[in-house]
Amino acid sequence: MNERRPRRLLLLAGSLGVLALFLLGGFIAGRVLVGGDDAAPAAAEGGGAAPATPSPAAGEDGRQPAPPRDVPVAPTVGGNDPVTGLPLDPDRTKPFWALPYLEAEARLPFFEGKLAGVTIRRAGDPSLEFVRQCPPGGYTEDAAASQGTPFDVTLPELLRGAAEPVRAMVLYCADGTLRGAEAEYFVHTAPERGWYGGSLFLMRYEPFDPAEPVAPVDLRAPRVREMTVAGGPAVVAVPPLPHIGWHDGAVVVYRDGIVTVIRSAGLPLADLLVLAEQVLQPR
Amino acid sequence: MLTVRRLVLLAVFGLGVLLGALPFPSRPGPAGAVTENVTLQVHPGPAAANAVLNCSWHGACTSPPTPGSALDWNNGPNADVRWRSWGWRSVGTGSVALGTIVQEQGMTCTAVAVSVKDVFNFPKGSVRYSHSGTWTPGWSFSIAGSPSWASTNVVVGFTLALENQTCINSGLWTAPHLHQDRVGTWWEVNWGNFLSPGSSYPVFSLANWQYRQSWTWNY
Repeated sequence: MNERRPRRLLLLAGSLGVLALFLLGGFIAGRVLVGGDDAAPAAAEGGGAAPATPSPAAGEDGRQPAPPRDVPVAPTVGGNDPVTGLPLDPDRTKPFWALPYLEAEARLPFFEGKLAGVTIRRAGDPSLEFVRQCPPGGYTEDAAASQGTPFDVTLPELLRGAAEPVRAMVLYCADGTLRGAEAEYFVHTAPERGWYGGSLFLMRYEPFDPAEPVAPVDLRAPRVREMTVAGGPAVVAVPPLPHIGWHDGAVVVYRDGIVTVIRSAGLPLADLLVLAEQVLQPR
Repeated sequence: MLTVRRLVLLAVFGLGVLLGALPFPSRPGPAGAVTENVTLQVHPGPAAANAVLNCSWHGACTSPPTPGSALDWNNGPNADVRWRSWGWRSVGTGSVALGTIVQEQGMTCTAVAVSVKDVFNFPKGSVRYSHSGTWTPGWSFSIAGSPSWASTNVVVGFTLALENQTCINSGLWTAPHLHQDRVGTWWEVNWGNFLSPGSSYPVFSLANWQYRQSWTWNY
């Protein structure tokens, strides 16, 4: 009888152990089912205002600034950038992920030289004359004035409904002829298209010297390529992370006597090239 | 007997699933789940801390000025152009954003822009300093914030002694000065301030912001 007690106790403990294991297994399964500790945090809520001055109200257009909520994580291309050695798929959920990329990009030399029939010069030299000179005839700040002309800088189709105008300038000569136009657009977040905010700048002009057209635009030399865009040669500055368009991209073309400069930020290379096609085709 | 045992085990497992699926309202949230509010104020950028306003809100400072969200500040040839900001954040202390200096050259006037991206790299628009050049295009700097406000004061460029001919011919420049504007309507404009051309303003006092915006982080 005494010999059986320890055996029974052993059996009881074993049974309780098995039951506890099943209970634990079920508990873990339950946590996994509802997301457990790794469940996503709640969506953004409005919070307290800054204490020293009143909380900013909505802008004059009534919109309150808010960051996009769906931060992309997905690795898409893999590998490292041959120019900087940095991964092409950074974890963009981490703060300051872009800092090493910015620093690496800032160390790259600027491109200066002739490519695809146009000479690229550094921006910022006020003594550089690159637009056809003529007796000035004023300007308008309405990009629509360029529509239907070879200087069309209205919003390309790809960005319709996804961008807003920031500024525009259409320049006239005294005889009423156009000499150039420029416009800048702010591109809104559109996660379904892989856009997380950016900008587009369009500048089109008759060059100061049609035999030696010049475009003043800062492009990092290792990013510059000559490519065919809209059926002709073009200078293309590939964004450092081309699949997401992080940082700057550009297309510069000299065609039919008009220099076209397209600068983008935050737009994937594929979209930049579509935009260039749309700008360069007669609209 | 075997079936009863299986049923008991199944019931215990099911009980575990139910317990696991129950919410835990009193449990603290995940360590990283924080909602934080941020406000960034950008102040006028002329070199002088007490700067003279040349032209109140305008697009082009013609007579009369065209409508717009820019201010013209007195700033002599080659005088510094500064990024001045105050940043507030509700939780932590440290950077709220990165500013990157960009040299721009459009058909008309020459400008330096500071492109602002928050620390997660979401763009917050930019601030443009027209009639300006820079020696440091592409450089980035940290924009500070704290629960009791933190300031950032960085030289980003200089005022041009002479603008290009197209800018002059367009009537947009007659003498060296700083034309400072926002890019992106996310920036709120301090319309009620800076209404007295010829007056000087302590440009870095907390009330004398030129543009500002707020956003929220969940991280």
